[in-house]
Amino acid sequence: MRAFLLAVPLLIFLAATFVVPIGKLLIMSVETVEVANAFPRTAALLAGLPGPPALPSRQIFEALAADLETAQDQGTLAAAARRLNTYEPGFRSLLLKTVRQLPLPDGEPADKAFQRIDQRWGEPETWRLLGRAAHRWTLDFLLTAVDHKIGAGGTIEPVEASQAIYVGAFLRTFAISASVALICLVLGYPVAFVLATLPARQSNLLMIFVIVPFWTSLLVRTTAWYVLLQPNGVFNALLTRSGLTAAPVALMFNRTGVLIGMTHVLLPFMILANYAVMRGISPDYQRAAVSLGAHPALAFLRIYVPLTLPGIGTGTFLVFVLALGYYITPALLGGAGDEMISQLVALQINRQLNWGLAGALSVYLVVFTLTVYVVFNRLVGVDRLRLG
Amino acid sequence: MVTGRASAVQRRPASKPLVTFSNIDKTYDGEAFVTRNLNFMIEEGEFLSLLGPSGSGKTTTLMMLAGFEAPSSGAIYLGEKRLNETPPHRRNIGMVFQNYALFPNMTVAENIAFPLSVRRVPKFERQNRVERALEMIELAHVAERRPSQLSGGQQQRVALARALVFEPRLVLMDEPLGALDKNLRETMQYEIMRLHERLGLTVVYVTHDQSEALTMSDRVAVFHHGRIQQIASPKVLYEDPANAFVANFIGENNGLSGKVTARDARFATLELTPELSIRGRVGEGISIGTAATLALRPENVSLDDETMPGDIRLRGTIDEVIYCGDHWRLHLTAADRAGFVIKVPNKTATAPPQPGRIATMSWSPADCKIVEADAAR
Ligand SMILES: Nc1ncnc2c1ncn2[C@@H]1O[C@H](COP(=O)(O)OP(=O)(O)O)[C@@H](O)[C@H]1O
Ligand SMILES: [Mg+2]
Repeated sequence: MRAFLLAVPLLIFLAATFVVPIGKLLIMSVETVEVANAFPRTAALLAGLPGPPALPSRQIFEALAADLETAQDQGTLAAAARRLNTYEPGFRSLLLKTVRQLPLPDGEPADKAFQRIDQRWGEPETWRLLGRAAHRWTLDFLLTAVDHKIGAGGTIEPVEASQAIYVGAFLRTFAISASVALICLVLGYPVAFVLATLPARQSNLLMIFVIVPFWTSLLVRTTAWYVLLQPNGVFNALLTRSGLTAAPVALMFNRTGVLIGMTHVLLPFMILANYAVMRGISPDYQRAAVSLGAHPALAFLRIYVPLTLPGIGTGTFLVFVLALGYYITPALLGGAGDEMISQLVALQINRQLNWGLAGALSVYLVVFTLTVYVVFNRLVGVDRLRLG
Repeated sequence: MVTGRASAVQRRPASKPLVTFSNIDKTYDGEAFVTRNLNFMIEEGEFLSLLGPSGSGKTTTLMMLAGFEAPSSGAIYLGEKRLNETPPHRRNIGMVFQNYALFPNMTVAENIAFPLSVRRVPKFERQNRVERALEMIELAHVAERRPSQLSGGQQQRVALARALVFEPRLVLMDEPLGALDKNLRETMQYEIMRLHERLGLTVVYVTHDQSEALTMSDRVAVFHHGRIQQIASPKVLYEDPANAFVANFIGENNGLSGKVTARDARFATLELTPELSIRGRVGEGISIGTAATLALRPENVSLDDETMPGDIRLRGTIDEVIYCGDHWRLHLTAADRAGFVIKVPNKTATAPPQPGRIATMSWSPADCKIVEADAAR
């Protein structure tokens, strides 16, 4: 009980910085309040409409006209317009165009007036989208995040190829993270082995080289690569001057740059995870295998490597999961085709102000990460997740 | 205390050396010698123990034989063949480690099959041999378990079976019973001796436990500072120690030190104080004027009575009397030195010795030996 009390500040901190924001993001991914808030009367009436989309009654046109005016006065119109625009580019201009002509001339029926202002008001699709957006709870963000939408027929269908960008981004994120994890394993495993088998003095010295990058800001390190990898940077100077290549090689603003940068940043995790496991392996196992007649290489493969599987698992898991959320490095070193999901999330939040879609993308990322975690836990065991 | 093995004495003649260490030096840093000038042979079928305090170079010696460390100079032969250049996996030497080193990712049966599978023994024969090995250690019922699910003693037996299943000519064990509790140790000592006997193994056994070495071995090599102080049967080690280190390290000893004042072919005289000199059998390397030490076992000293003609007599004050069941253990001050230990048989007829009393100790010159003082190094 007292131990629990000691942990309370941490629990509060975690709740405030972790559980609450993530929970909020999750809710945001299924909640959309802009339209319902801006057009309360229209929303209420549209919600009561049954059946397939059709032109609504005149009463609803009147309600919308009234709602548009209040929304403009109260300043909620812009958010609603932005939200509607995510369904159909052009919705915003439609609303703004309409609102400029309000109030309607006396005597003219609202439905006729609207259709005079813009013929789109005469299309059932416009009203269907307005109705969807007016719902407080929606699956639209979650569908958009996997390049799907609810079509006119009310069924789930893929979006047009030109707008299908998120599944590709997810796959790319997965591919980049997996590549980085693999490269880190190939590079880090031997280093960890050397660190674990070298006498303590040399090992400690080497360890400093592994840890120092940890003390340096991520941004600084990425910027350093930025300098190194430029077409007229250090690497290309070496390559061309040594005659290995005739012209500078594109090492950044492409996948190569992303992989180099992320591998460098994440390599210490792989090394430390493997080192922690390897340090605990008695050299007697290898010796025993060799004394029993196994060639050292065979003993290494059949005895040593299996014993290090927890380290391999932990390191790969850590690097993979950390890579999934990477943002700065791919943004600085990557090209147009290397956007990772986090960049798209940031884009939705910073530029498009589309928190719902950002939330939905995050939901998939979180769910995927949790899946990886569960699989990892099954295979390796989370209690193995230790560093140093 | 001294048991030794009856068979040890009988099997001695006419066997060939299986292993020969010739002038082996080993240094890790080029300065300090971890082993120095090792020259000894191990005979076929012999049980040889390497005994010595921690850090005396036993493991290093074993590792050079197994091939995991290379001698800095000198040669090791297995039979007629020079072994120095043979990599460890080709030496065909079985090895048992202190913490067993059973592969945790394999079952017991897979562990035992490992040396056979790396030798490409056909599957059917492999299974047969693993089964026989499991029967030999009476652990057939745990074949499919992981090593971590076995008790210490069971793990030890699996490690033994694994080291024996490929029928090596030579088996090395580095403190194999060090991690077991006392009762289990004794059971396992017996089991190892039984296997040695039954399979006609040649065993090199490292231990720092002298009673283990004395009980199990045909011969014991006593290590100190990387040198072999003496290599001999347990009986000879105990009764005829080569120097002060061996005398003090094995069993209990009254190691009074002094200066040699006379010697002939069989006896020497050790001057303890100007008034007091003691005669004893002369050890190796004893010459007049050198410092030397007495090797005298507590049980060879009698108290007060039982003096034979020619016995040496020494007066001392009893400081402490300890009851040990079958005997009394007395600590005395004699020849101006405290800590003289003797054992007096506990006979119902005699009254227990009293502390503070002056007593006369006596022993036969044949029961004590004048040996070289502990060389500084
Ligand atoms: N790999 C090594 N590098 C340097 N010194 C070592 C190494 N292995 C052992 N030593 C040193 O050699 C000496 C003898 O060690 P060892 O053979 O293990 O003794 P024992 O087995 O008798 O306890 C010790 O002083 C130890 O510190
Ligand atoms: Mg040792």
